[in-house]
Amino acid sequence: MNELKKIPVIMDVDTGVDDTMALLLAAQSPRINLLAATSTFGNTFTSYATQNTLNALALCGRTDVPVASGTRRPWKKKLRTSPYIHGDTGIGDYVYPENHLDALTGEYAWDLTYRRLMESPDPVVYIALASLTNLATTLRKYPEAKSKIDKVVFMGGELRGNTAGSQCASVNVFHDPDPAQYVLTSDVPFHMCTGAAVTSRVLFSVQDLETWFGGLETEKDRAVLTMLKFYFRKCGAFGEGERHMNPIHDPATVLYLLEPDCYASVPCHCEVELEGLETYGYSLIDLYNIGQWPEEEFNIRYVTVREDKRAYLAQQILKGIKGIQ
Amino acid sequence: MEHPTKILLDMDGDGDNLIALAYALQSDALEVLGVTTCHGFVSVETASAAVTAFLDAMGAKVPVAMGADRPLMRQRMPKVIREAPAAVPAAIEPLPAWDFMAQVLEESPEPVTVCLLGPATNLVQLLHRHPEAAGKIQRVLFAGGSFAFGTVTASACHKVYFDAEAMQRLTHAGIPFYMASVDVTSGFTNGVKLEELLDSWSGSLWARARRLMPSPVPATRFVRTPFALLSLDHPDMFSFGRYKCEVELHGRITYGMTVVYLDNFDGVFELPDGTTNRRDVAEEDKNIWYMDAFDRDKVLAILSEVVGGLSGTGGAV
Repeated sequence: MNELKKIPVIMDVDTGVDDTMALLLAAQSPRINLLAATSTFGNTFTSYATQNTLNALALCGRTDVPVASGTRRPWKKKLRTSPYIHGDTGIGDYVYPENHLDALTGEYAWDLTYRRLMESPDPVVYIALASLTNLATTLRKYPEAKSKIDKVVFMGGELRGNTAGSQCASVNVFHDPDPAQYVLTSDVPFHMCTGAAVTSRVLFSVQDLETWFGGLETEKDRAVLTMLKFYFRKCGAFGEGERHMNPIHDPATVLYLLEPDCYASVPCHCEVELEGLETYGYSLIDLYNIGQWPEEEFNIRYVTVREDKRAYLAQQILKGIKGIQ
Repeated sequence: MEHPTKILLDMDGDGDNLIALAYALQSDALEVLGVTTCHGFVSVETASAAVTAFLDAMGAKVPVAMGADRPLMRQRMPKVIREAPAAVPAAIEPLPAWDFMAQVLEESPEPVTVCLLGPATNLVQLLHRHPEAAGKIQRVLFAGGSFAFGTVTASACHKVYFDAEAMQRLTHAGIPFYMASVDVTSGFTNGVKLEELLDSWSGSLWARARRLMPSPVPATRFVRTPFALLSLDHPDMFSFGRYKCEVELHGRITYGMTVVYLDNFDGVFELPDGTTNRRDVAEEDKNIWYMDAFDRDKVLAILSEVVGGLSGTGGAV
């Protein structure tokens, strides 16, 4: 693949288990030019997320990707993480043999993001796999950064019902709803990959993991297998997935860039509820335009996975993580 | 049938309410003790006029009592249709809706089911003014509520939105509360050419109902509610699950959303060893029965057969 045709990408991650898979997928893809990875809280604390991001990139030999640590806590609400899914350190019971720190730039996430955006000749795709705090801070500090963002691809938001957040809030919005609303109202092209419509529809079995990574040929295989087995165990306890299949949420979002034909999307209006007692952090997606919004108020594209492509996408994700092109 | 279920209908005069009324009147298994009206999209006066005119057209003699003209704790919401209220029909009961309901409940030898087809204002007035009579309510069947897709806003069903405070009180009043939410009932007509179906109903009753509306309303508005009523005389076609439900009263964009704890997930708690786990909703916190499944084809067939075959006997409509 021609170097010029690579999609420039910045990833914002709260590196837990599924973020690690998304990083591996993006960093090893010959069609993605990973400009930077920034970390935030969510699955785990920002400090763990930063270290996990550095280690994950080192795992596939991509220590050339600059990494910056981002915000440590939400704008307004109390910090919450998800150790009951991702373990105390964010990567289940896996322990990296060594910690890599070389790629850490020492900048804040928003400064690195801005610098890399401005250096890039082409508009950049911003993949947000955690709460939108870093992106909102970037846009607040550097309003001109907006012009260099091709689109934001966000893993999160929900039509309703998500056990990890609250009754109706998805976890990546619920963890910090205020910046999410800030980004949604800032006119950045925003593609929303929700759990129900995208990430939970690409499913894997433990057997898949054994087939692809059970050989333990490399440290990467061992890491992937250990983390995902932990993750599946925890997700299973929370009743996710169909029968014995489990989703690995974040990589399905990265694949939206690589396999656009496997997805469909519709424009609609979306806002975040910031005042509700029961609905705080709920991303209200007006899919049927009941609010009668004019077309210029359609601020997101609601992404869905094509039914017949689900199995294909699962294979592509496993391939991507393994590093086979 | 030997022992028809005694019901009271509390409605806002919307098109679907009228179809529901027609269904209830023809059913042998249901005995309509009375109809009460409430504010909704239209004023309570217009609703009363529509209901009495429709009953006239059906040739039915059912007492109608007029209820609340606005929500419990606020003025009418901005989404209502502002029309000049119709004249109060002469055939209306002298008592306000809640006193009328209390009277009917006290006189009835058996418990009564209340079908709530509009906002909850009248019923909450009844609870406050006649708590002993409210004890004779067997259950409340509410045809409305929304957890994902609303009707009047993106998140709220109009029957809740027009008086969310009342709905929150009613769902926590301890009366068995059955909800057929819009999320479940709106999927009911997916893939059905509804206009064609309704036009094929020989009695053209729905066209009459439609003419009573102050403004054109989509066909889907006519079939949601009667569908819920079927759960009274065909209980085998529906299944209800017990859940916790809260009405959102403070949201900026989600006011009136009925949040149903479908996963029975009530937050996360910490175990003594420092790990966290999910907390399930406690049984005593589960306050509603939520319709979670139904036999769509059978329901549509029955509705078409019964209501589609009805025609009015005359009247001014």
